[in-house]
Amino acid sequence: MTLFVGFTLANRSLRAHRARTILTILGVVIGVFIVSIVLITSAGLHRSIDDQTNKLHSDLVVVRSAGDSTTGMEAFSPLRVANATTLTALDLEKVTKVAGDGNVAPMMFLGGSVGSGQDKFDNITTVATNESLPDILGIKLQSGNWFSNKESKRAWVVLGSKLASGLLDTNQAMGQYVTIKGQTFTVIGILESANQPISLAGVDVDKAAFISMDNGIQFTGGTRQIGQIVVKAKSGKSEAMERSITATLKVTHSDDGEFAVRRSSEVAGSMAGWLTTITTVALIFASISLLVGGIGIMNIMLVSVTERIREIGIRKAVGATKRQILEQFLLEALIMTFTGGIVGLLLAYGASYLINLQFSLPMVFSWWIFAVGLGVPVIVGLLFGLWPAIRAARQDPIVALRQYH
Amino acid sequence: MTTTSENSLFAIPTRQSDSKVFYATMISNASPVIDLRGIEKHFGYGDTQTVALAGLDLVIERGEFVAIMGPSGCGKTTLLNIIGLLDQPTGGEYRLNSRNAAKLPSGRKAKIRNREIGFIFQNFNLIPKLTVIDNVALPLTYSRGLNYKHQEKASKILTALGLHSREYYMPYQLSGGQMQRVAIARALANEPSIILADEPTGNLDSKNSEIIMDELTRIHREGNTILMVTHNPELLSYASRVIHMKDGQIDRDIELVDNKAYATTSKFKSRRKESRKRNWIRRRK
Repeated sequence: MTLFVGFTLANRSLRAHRARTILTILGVVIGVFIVSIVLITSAGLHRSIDDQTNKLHSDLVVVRSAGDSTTGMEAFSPLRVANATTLTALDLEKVTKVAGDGNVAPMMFLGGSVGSGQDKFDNITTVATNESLPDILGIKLQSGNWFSNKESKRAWVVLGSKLASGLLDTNQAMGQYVTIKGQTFTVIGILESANQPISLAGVDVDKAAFISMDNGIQFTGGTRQIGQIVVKAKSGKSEAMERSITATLKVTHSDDGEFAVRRSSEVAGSMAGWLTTITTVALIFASISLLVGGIGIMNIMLVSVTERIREIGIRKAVGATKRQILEQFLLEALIMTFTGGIVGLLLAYGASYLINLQFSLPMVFSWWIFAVGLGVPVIVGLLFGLWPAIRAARQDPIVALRQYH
Repeated sequence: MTTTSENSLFAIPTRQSDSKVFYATMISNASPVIDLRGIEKHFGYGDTQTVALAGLDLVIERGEFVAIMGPSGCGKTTLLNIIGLLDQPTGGEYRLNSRNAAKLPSGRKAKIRNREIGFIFQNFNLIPKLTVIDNVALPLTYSRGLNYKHQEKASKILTALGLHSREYYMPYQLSGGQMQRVAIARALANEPSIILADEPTGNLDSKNSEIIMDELTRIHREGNTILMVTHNPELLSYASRVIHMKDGQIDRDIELVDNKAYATTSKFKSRRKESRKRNWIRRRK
């Protein structure tokens, strides 16, 4: 018997028990859906990290105060909470000397509220910086301008896109006033949505307000409490830049833990590492749901074998071989899991499309997602369908025919 | 039809000369379709052991229409199952077309069931989820794969049995007599030479019984061997030979010489002898 015949026989008998087949497939659909959505989302995140590092910040070096960290990497972890800074104005000067003017931007992080008229948002990060920041971080302006170093004394502010739309009607935002920590600033620019998964800026750019360094130090009593310094290196020179900055800073900071210098690619790498860990954990849980789906298949197949003992007997009496019976039942399991795989994968891509709309996460179509999304259910079908199929094939035709006599 | 004269035409000359007697003995030594020697079948172990067949000997030639009778529990169905390769005897030797059944692997047995044997059961045993035509084509599906020609063939057989208009019905939509005719159609699908019928009319009224028996007679006339288990003495008029069983053994074995079926059988037997003889002569040259 060709496989095609087995397929048709299996297909017919699945159609005959429509409701049961659909419910069984549903178990697989859910399992494959969860596994695929984890894979697609994770691949999307990896892709957007790659995009960000490759296209925008391939030559970025970030200097942060490292706190108590020994490796310095914790300063870049997404879970970072400490904001105490050990970087000084002197450090900024030194780094500027090494990297060249225009390639260095200090970032001073100020907490507090930002308001406009009646609206007021607490816990907004205001970043005090200089004119080079948008170029270095690759942030673009949606409208208006960035403040220049020459006009740094003026009370001007640039708003992140989400903050702006929350505070003001963005169409008429230009020239409006916002209050930062009680002081009034004029809005001169609004940023494009940055959509950067790696926070090289140290802050969510979309939800931050940007003011000049001179304005910033008004809130700190004149001291420059620099949270981080971002440096743009020449293409391919970021490693050398990292080394020379480290060497320079070591002169004044005897303790290694006081500062951390990292290239953007390293930060991306550590982010990707984090992501992989989270993905792995998520996949383990998703696999459990697929396992449950597989057990559902096995359960249904066993019930089906018991229920159809007589049918198996008849089939054997008219000349079906053990192998043909085995094939039919195994194919039934495979058809169910494979269909479940396809539907689950389609649903996962549907969901990832919605995620894409909401969070602008790129949708990734790669062969290995399809391979896993369709291959794993087939393996599940083989594993969990085999035992029931063997049981069906081993039915003694006499016993089978005697059933319900 | 004057079958007796036809019979003598073929049968008598074989006994006229020495050489022809020699041929005749040759032929009688030729292996029968079904050859059972000392067949035993036990169920269970120890105290609960029951004996279904106790050293049964039976030889059935090609073209016979054998009715098997006997009280329930005498081993009729067990015997039929063993002959149909659905069951294995616990003792004795069974040769089907001179092949030792005990030595056949299960796949080979399945193939023989498929091609050489057609089963007809008392309760029809159609697959309820398949249409009539799919049920009939099922043996073809297992032996030759899927092919629209099988549907055509199944349709042809069904038409011959007067069920053309019921091809796409489900079995539960049919009457008992129709279901049994479908079962017969399925048994005939692969053109087997042996038909095993286990009380084929047991669940049918007398009118439908008659239709079924006429079908079996027709099949028999085409040269097939038929074994039929029955409780109904009226059906014996269709058979060429009746075997009464008792306690797992053959009690009486009678050739029903007066029956039409017997004439058909002997006619067929002698025809076979003729052709064998001719072949033998050809081989000698």
